[in-house]
Amino acid sequence: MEYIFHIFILIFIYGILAIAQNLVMGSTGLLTLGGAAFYGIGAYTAAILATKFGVNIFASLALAPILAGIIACVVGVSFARFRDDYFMLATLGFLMIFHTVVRNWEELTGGAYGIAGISKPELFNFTFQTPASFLLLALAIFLLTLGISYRISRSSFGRVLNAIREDEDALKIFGYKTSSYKLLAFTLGASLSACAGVLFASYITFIDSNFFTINESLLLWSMIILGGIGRNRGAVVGAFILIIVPEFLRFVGFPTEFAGLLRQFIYGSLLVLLMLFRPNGILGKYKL
Amino acid sequence: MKYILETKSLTKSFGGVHAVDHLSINIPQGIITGLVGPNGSGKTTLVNVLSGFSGEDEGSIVFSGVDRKKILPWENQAYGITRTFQQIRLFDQMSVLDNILVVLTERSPLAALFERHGAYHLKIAEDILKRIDLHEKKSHHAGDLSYGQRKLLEMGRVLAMNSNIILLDEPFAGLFPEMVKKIEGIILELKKEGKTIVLVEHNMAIIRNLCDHLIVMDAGKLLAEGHPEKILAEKSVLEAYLGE
Amino acid sequence: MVLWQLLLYTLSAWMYYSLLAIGFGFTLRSIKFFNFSYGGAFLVGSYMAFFLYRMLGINFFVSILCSFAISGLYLLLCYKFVFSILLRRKAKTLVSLIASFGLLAATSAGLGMLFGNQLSLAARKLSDIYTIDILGASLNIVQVLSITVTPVIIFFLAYLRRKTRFGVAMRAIEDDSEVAELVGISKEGTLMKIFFLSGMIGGFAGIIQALDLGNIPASGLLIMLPTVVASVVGGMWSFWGGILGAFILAVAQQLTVVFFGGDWIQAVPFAILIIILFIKPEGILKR
Repeated sequence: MEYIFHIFILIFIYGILAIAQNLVMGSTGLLTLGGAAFYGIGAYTAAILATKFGVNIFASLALAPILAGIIACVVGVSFARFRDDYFMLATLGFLMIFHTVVRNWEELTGGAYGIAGISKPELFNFTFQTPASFLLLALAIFLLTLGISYRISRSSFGRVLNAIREDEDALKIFGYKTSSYKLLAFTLGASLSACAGVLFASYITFIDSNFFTINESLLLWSMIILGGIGRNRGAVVGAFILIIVPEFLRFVGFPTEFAGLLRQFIYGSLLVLLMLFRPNGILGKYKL
Repeated sequence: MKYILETKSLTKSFGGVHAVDHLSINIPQGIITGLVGPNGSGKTTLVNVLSGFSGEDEGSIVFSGVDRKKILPWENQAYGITRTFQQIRLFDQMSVLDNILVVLTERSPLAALFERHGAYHLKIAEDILKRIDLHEKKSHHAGDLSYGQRKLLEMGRVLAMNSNIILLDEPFAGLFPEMVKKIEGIILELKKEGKTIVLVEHNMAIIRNLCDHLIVMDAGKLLAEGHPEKILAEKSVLEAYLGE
Repeated sequence: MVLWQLLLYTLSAWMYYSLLAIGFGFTLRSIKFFNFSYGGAFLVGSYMAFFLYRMLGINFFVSILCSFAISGLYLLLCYKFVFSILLRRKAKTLVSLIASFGLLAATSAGLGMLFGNQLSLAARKLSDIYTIDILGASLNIVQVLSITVTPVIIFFLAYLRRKTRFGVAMRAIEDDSEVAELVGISKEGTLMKIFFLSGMIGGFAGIIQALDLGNIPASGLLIMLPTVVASVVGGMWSFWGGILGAFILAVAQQLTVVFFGGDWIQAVPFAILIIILFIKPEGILKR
């Protein structure tokens, strides 16, 4: 039973990440590899604040997104002018630099050893210690995220993001400074990813830089591409499938490492097959 | 004659070829000016430069006496200019209604995020769709419309922009007569509302029908300019066309 | 002397990155997007060498030759079954880019599952056994090979591009593939050859690294980072650009190690990349 809680907690965390990634990539068509970096920023913020300053996780849930948002703004402003493939390379660069900083700034991030002993969230003297209670917390934040992105997609802002994905150059003529929109989407996505990072750090109570690599970003790509670009339902479905599969394999008896490789093999192949045969994913509305 | 738009020695080159070659023209306000010339004479390039779709290399563009300096595409709205595309550039995977709405709503990202005028914009969009007879198709994807309907939707966008200067790049290309009539009607309505229209066109009948003023380009330069009937009889113009 | 040693290290790194960048550049210029499956060819080459030489016990040179032929074949198959279809469909470059990432991820995971995730060495620490003393500095044999053999390969490739029919076809396709076809160059055939060649080069680089440091599945993605940076920084559209970019990269890395210590070395390619993207996105050298 606890195992099922565990799986669903992961699904909710990755669901938040997938929705955040979808906000940036699905609507604007911007290819970003920075997803893992903001996830990591959220996680490390929570970890550092909790272990070094005893700050409650709930406070981190509010602070980390703000920090991530500021960093995203700076990064985004610098990169907003880049064309698609260069933008992707630049975000890759950002991820790698984040990685290197985390690994080397030992006093702050524990370097290669990571940070352990991250506390669980506490609210009015209640600690979300048990898997069941944490599950409810994760679910609540997941639903909140879903609500926010739903609100966005229904708004004028969401409409403009879609138009940017369709034909950015034509849209500009009608009076839109599209780079500002992309920047705001990028920032919002980063903040949401940071939220997921805080949850993750608190849940597994130990993090190091290996959790936040390119492979993580690629996994997020797969989730939203598999489920279907632009659709939140799709993002969540993608997260669900790509979490369930390796957990199932582990359950059935494959060693953890092998399960991880198999998942990578599956999502790699899926990316290729989807691009070839069904660019709009399982539930997707929009073709890339 | 009041000129709402003037170019002074405007030049745009592509790898050594002057698509627009030190062009100085004046667009009179409030009438329909035809922009004609053989293929490759630079008409679409001129429209691209005027609308900020591609940048000019030399020269300047003057809006109502004000030199616009560097044209940034998103400032078109501020300068009251809009355009259509020869190849049709709609937002295909968005609905017909959304294609119009996106032109009406708040331009600033934060304002768009917390939009408060949704109902009003929706009313205007629906009115426009009714005006161009596309209201029943409002939920269809723009990409699913017929060719003629897509040209019509581009005109719908123009109506939504409500700009003073309207650049139309071959809006009649490949259309059936009924559709041609519809669009001609819309253009004449726009002129009645006091808008200035620049019409890139090949069809001589339409030019004679609609245009009050004609500018003829050839190889990026100004070949002739004046009243349509007079111009179309000029030898040099005929030669330029027959030569192609 | 330390300086001399550092110079030789830099030289060998420069040559190595040049090779990678040139091989990568061939596909970059001909199909106009960043083909990350090149990293897959890199891995295939090195794992094949491991498989043939260490597991099957085949003769060293034959293993090497077969390995980079197989890696060439790998990239060719990637083209034939994935990229050519996407190109024909006129898909957006982002689609091909994502597909290439998928190929790399699947390939590295697949190889990891077959051969294990551990470090695999194609030869029992060849680099430890043979070191050569050059005027006071010592290099392992792989670094020496890098310095001596790679320039030969580079000049051979340059010759190929300038003087042979294939080279002319390759440059024509890079310029404008449609015009090239009108002039009678077989676009499909030439692209297949380009991918095969590129795969061979990538595989060869993979074998070199396997002999020197050994490879893990993640190496495929990791090696793409300096490769892409060297190609972009030096000038995406120029053959010699890859070499220039590799030079800048090698020197910057070496300086970083000297002044800041080895831990920061991973950030170097990216700092350079970001700087170049701001100043001159197409890279330093033009066509």
